[in-house]
Amino acid sequence: MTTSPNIFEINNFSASYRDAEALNDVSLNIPRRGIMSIIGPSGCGKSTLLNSLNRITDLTPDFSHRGDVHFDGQNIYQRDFDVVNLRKNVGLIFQKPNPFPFSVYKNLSLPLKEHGMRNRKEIESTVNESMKIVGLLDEVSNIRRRNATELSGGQQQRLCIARTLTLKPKVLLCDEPCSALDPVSGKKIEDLLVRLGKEISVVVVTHNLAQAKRISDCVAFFCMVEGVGKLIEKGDTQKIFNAAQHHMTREYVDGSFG
Amino acid sequence: MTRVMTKVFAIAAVVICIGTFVTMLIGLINSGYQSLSFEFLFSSPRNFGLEGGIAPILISTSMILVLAILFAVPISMLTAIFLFFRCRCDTVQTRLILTVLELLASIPSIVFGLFGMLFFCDFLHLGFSILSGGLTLALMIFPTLCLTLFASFLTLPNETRMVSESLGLSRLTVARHLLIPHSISGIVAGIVLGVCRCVAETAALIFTSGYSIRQPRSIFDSGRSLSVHIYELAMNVAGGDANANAAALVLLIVLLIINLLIFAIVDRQPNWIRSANH
Ligand SMILES: Nc1ncnc2c1ncn2[C@@H]1O[C@H](COP(=O)(O)OP(=O)(O)OP(=O)(O)O)[C@@H](O)[C@H]1O
Ligand SMILES: [Mg+2]
Repeated sequence: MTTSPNIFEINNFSASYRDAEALNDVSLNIPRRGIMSIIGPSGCGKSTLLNSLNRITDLTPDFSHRGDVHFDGQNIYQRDFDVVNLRKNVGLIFQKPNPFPFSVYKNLSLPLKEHGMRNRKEIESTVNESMKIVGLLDEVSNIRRRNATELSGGQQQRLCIARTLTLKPKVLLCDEPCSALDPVSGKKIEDLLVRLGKEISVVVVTHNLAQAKRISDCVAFFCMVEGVGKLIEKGDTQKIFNAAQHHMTREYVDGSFG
Repeated sequence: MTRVMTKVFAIAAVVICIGTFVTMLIGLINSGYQSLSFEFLFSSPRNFGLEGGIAPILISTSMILVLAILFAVPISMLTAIFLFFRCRCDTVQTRLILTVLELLASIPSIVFGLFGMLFFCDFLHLGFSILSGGLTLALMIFPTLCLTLFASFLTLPNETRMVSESLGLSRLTVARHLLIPHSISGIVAGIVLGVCRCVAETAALIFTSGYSIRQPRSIFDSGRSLSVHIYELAMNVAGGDANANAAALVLLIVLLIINLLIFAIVDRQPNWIRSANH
């Protein structure tokens, strides 16, 4: 099998809830490294796309899709596909920080144990490593006793990122990871994502265009066309912000949209 | 105006609840306390229960109760967990199961008693025994318990469910580390309700665990429960009123203790959850 430079290859992907189509005919490649921002007005299916990549949409009974999505060369919708393995490799961060209501340590070790790590020492060092990457190791003491819900919002969000990082994912999908946070915490997450983007693939949905401009290597612009979300344009950050091909993209990044 | 009405009704409700309870308690204490003694609790009944105590009956009652809970709790827990993980995926199936459970929950206990007699006593050849009684009670509380557990599981925030799924956590892990700790107070409340219904049950036991007032030696022996004893003394034994009242007082106190104990445990729950999570 030849390894493609893309971790995700999305081909003619459409998604609907019940009968209402949310995404129509999206084709998009997500590279193995670097940060891709997904921008676009509310309701254009950005979250739907992210959730589909982790197959968390399986939980929504009304959800259906057409087209296909390849992860690491494998169609994630094929019959005998290992969804648990996909979720291990594709971390998903939600807008609202959502740590589990137990100790910080257990938040990080539980997914590790779930995915087969048994050795105590190994678990401990992996947890510490993740805590260090997100900058919580020095900030939070006594992680075995401290309840994760007692952390600040920004710390909680970084904890959530650390929780997926323990699994050594190949992709990190973030759905508006900073929008529920104060600017300082937001900046910390941003810096963290930039660091992570050097090693793995990071996809960030954001409404903050300045942020998209600052951190991303490439940008995908989604928009509603006749009530259905569509991918309008995708390209390098510079190109999208300075010389977009499509007039809707230009209007959106100029702020004259709508 | 509606505010005043609400207040009036609320006060009326409180007065009726407390009033009924206090009147009942005073009545029981008045007519039962003379018979109530240390000896009453720790000796065997003589002369159809007109004399002596209720020791074997307390033992039978506890055995029936423990069996009922032992059978009912794990099974309803598993059913409720199954329903919880299914409920957002398979609406028709879940609807059907829930409707059946609701129907079962509204069946009078005497019907369960008759069913228990036919199925456990006769068909499974368990006879009039504590085991038959326990199984019948388990069956009786199963639907309500199941529905209560399911309802408390539904209070788990949807985001928690999404996150745990997005991390690839198995259902077992989610149930054990998130779902059950989250709904622990609902679970305990459901179990308390079940326990109280079991302790108070008469009709379902008359036909299944029987009337024997001897000390049961095993779960295959027949044994009379406290509520059956009260019923017998009050209805079928002339002059049994005093001891019936005393036994009823014991029943009330037992229920009160069970309730207080369990709620005391629930109140302490945050501590042991925290210390159990390492
Ligand atoms: N669980 C759901 N059930 C039914 N419809 C849904 C569901 N989730 C999303 N939708 C619909 O799908 C469309 C796309 O929603 P989505 O959440 O993907 O948009 P979004 O781009 O993430 O918006 P925002 O920027 O506000 O987060 C919307 O019309 C929405 O109403
Ligand atoms: Mg969204």
